[in-house]
Amino acid sequence: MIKFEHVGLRYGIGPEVLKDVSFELSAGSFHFLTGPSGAGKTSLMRLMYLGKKPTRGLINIFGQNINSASRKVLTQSRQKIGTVFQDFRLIQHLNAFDNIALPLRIKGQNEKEIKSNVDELMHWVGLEDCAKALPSTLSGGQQQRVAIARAIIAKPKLLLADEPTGNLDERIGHRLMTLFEKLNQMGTTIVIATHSESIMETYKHPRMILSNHTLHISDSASPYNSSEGAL
Amino acid sequence: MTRRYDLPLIKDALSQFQYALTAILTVLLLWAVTAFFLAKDQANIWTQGLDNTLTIEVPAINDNGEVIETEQHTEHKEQTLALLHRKGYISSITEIKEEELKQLVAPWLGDGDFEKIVPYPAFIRITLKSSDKSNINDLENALEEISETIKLRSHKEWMGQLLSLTNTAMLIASIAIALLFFVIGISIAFAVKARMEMLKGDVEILHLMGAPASYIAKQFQRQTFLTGMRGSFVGFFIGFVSALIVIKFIMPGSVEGLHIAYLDTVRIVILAALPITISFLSAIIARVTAFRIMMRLP
Repeated sequence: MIKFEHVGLRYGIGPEVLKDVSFELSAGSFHFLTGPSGAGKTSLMRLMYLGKKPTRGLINIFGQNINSASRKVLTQSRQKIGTVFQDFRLIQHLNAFDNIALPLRIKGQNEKEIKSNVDELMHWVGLEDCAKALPSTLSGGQQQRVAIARAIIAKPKLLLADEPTGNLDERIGHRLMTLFEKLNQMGTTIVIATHSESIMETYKHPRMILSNHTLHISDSASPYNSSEGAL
Repeated sequence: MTRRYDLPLIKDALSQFQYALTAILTVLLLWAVTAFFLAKDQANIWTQGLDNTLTIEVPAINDNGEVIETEQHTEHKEQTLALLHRKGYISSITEIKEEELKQLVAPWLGDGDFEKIVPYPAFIRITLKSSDKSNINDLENALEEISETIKLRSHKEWMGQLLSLTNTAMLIASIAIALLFFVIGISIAFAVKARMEMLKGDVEILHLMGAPASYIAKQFQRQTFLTGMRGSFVGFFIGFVSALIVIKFIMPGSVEGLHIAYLDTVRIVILAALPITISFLSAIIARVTAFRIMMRLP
């Protein structure tokens, strides 16, 4: 599903924010991405959601070499990825319904299906009363749920979430984690960047630990059993 | 069903700017096209009837400035007239009378009997049946056999200065039209660039969701087309009305002899096509600009 080989990333002429990162995630896997602030979690997520190309190394996603892929292939690959950004990145002039509907409209789904799918998901994430609300009128937690709903509405093959439960109360947080678990059981590969030990302790999934700009993968839930990410 | 935009492109400040700019440029464009038509009409009016019209001058003074004997001058004139009557390719021959000549030079020389000091040349106006160059050459050779002093002049040549004036006016109008189209293109391209810069975050989100460049470019294209259409039709209306007012009510009084451009079907189609052309041009430029910017994203 995702394969990184000796990947490095730097911004401009600055130092490398990711150094020699190598790992492979199989289809249907569920990983937490964790590590101290500034370790490069967001940069690694950016590479995975194809928001940036690496300065060195090879990235292979959905069987496509991203370094040499055509624009068409990159576009098709992006449509298979759902991303929850740390700062939500909702489109401010669109209401909650239209923000969530965006991936479906990009895919060209008809409006009737879009309405049915979006209404169902909005109900599921507890936003059924906020369909017409603009993001600026929603609370942080509600905006985060809109961002999550937007990421999963098109049933992506790969879901990347950067601190998806950060602004949510524990009950909604666990409800969303249950949703992620269900998506994972249905075959979606999931990578969640989080600092929350309680989430990682509750949901036992392997951890990708970034420290000093390099990556280690822990096969068990315990961070103390970590080893170098192997290919 | 109303058209939906994922990006906030309606009623932003740049849309208003584009609307106003398109309207103003359309007014200027319409005036430039009208000026072109006026200059073309004026040139046509001035040259109308001058085709195939020639004047033969039988001078009373030779090339050295010496007065030719009256008998010899009269003989040259009569031989010329006889020659002209023999040529089948000449449809009309008119000898300009001395009285007519006096009237023509009166504004410069006054009403005195100046022919006693410097005799008047004889002028014969002729019209050829066709503009065949070989006929003109044949006539020139035949006249030279009578006297080398006899000159053949085309009326169109005499209009050269005036025609170059109208041609210059037409050239300037053409350059203005091209420049205005260029300005419309440049302003649309920069408006789209500025708008994409303003909406960089939203454009990037769509891009990361897998929106193809065409999906995003289409939104800019549609919005630019509609704004361009509104602006250009308003500009067309203002330009057309103002041009009519100027031509009908201001120009005839202040510029004597200037003729009103004749609006035939072709010209009406050309003028009516202006706002449509501007709208489509705007849309194409918006699409190309948006595409080029999208290509810079990873």
